[in-house]
Amino acid sequence: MSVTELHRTDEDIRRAFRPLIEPRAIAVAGASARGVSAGNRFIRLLHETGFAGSVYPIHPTADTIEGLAAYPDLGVTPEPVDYAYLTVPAERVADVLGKAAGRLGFAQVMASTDPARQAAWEEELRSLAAQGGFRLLGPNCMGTHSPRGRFTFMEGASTEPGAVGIACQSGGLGMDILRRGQNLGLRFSGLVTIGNSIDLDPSDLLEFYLADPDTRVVGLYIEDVKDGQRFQKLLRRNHGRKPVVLLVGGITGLGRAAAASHTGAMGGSAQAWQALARQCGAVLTETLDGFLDMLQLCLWLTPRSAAATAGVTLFGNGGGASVLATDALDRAGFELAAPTTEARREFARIDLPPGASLANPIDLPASVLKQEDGRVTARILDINSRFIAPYATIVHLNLPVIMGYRHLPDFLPNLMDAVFGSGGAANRILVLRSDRSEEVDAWRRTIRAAAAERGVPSFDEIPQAVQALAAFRDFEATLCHQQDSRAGSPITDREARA
Amino acid sequence: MSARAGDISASGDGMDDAIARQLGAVAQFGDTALDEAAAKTLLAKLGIAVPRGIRLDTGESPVGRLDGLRPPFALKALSGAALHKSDIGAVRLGLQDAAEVAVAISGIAERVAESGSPLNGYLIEEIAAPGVEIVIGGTTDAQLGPMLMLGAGGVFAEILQDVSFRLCPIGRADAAQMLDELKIAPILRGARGRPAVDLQAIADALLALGGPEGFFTRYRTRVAEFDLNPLIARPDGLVAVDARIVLTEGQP
Repeated sequence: MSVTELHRTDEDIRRAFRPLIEPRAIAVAGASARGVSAGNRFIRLLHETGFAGSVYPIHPTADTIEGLAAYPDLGVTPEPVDYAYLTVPAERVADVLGKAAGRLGFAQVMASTDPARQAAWEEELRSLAAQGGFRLLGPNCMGTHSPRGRFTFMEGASTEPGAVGIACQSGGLGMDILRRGQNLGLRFSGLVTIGNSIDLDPSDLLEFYLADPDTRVVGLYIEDVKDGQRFQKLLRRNHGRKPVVLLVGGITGLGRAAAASHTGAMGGSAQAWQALARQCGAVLTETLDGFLDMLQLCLWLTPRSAAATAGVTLFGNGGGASVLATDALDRAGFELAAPTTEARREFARIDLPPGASLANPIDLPASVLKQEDGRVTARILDINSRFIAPYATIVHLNLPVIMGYRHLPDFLPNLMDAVFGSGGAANRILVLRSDRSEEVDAWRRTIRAAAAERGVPSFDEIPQAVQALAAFRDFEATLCHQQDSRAGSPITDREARA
Repeated sequence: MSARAGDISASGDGMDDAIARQLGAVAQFGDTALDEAAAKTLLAKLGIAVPRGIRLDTGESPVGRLDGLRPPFALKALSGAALHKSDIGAVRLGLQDAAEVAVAISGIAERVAESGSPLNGYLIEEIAAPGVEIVIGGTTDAQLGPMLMLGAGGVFAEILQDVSFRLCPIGRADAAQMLDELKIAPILRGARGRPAVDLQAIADALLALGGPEGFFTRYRTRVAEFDLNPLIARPDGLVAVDARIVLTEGQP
């Protein structure tokens, strides 16, 4: 049963995935009558997140599990099941799935088996799915997180619906993305761990998220893309319209067979994936934090036509940090935005103590920022938006110092209002610099959550922010190239129809 | 500047059949690669210029065969196996006439025999006029398929690592971007008072190899990797001075 046809409509694709994303009936195989196994935890989690559909524990002998009526197999549940979560050991999986024919939408299999038996076992599961008319996620995965369906596989995951759609070939990394991502302020339309991808593979999930109107940014962690040609076709057709951020594991050249040519020696997986990203308007990242940072930027910044030069305004209470930030900008190919004559004239109207200057980088001690109950920041940023209009503004706050003034009435709210901006503040980025003390880290979390609500990306340090901004600018450039190449070339027309 | 090697007049399907036959014939003999002469014949069919030259079988004399060519000549050993020719002294340059070529041939025969590589024959070519050396190559990524490479070429290509990659099939815009990504791009566009090289010829070659109807895109199941290193880029065109096309294993 194949979903590889590219002529299916978006609606067909959404309908095909509805049982996974918004199941009305979930079966759980692997919970026990007594225990605290993963299956039991999953059932309790369904209750906690307010899953509104039916839950059917599957167990050979028990009558009830977690207070719910249990059934001996998937063939005898009161109704067909949209989604089955299997934590049973590998040797039981075929038996459970064998009874599911015609009564199941999606099976997610957590188990894995030893390498000697893997090929045969996976082939058996694949054919059970094909014959039984259901789709299979895994094996060797951890579950699905779907706020729309009000269910998740991870304790502590927020089920607030969001716009980031993730597919991940590692369960552990999937949990990292959920945890670290939600602390960054990201919320997910879905996060599906697909493990060994013997049936549903990265292309299937990519296709779904591209067709899903609730998903505005797609993120994929890939170790084996499976159908590379189909993956490329999907990405090329998308042309970066919906941002796709890639994190690819196992991409470096270690262990590659000896090459027979210069090209073979130099052209490894890293080069292939970089080429893919440039040609298809996808964003390639190399680390978990880089991946999450690009999800932030793609979610909250709007790509614009690439300007020949990109000027950045730096603003904050940094001192040496501002100097280092300027170096980071230079290395990344940015310039410091130069204040225009009008900007200088407007800046001159602001009363500043001697020595404080509004030349870029704008570096003001907190004692100045707190002037006018923190409203001076709003004035400066407003002048920056209206008269300098840089490619991006990086607002960096040295939190321990700023928070020293938190008792001043209205200072913090005014400062944050000014920093978050009020519309038209293009490409504004917040850097919240902490000394890693518990107190300051806690303040940072609070401010970060508020920034996420206002759609302002936030970072821990300035060079990180600059790197992410540079990658975003590369992404904008590839979108521009695609605009050019799509204009009238018969070659690209043919590709588009392929 | 230089004519196309090979005497098959090519057009459309006839050319494709000829290329398919050529690949098939080589594979039948159990060679793992096209030798340089065969590779250049193929390139010429693709519209990529190669130096004028003739092919000699082992035991054939060059006397009387070089009248249509302009000295000085390059002499190269032909082999269907992996061969870093300059490393093992299987290339001789600057030969002025058939007599010098004949002497050089015996020297090469000895050195190639020492190296243990099989010898198919010899290629005697006109020496290309100097220009900017570039490399165009192809390799296959296990997950993403055939991939094209453009870069600064010559014997130090792998040391310089000034290269750009795109997955096949490429379009004309991809070809332009591959060029822009190179450190030597300003040199190709003309630097220090020198004129630009024929950039169109470079783009045409990239498309002939990696475009939607390109050689590597179409024959990727039969061709594992290829290197054209160097191609000499000049204001008046592009010529492939060396070519290596490696076949996939076990293909009929």
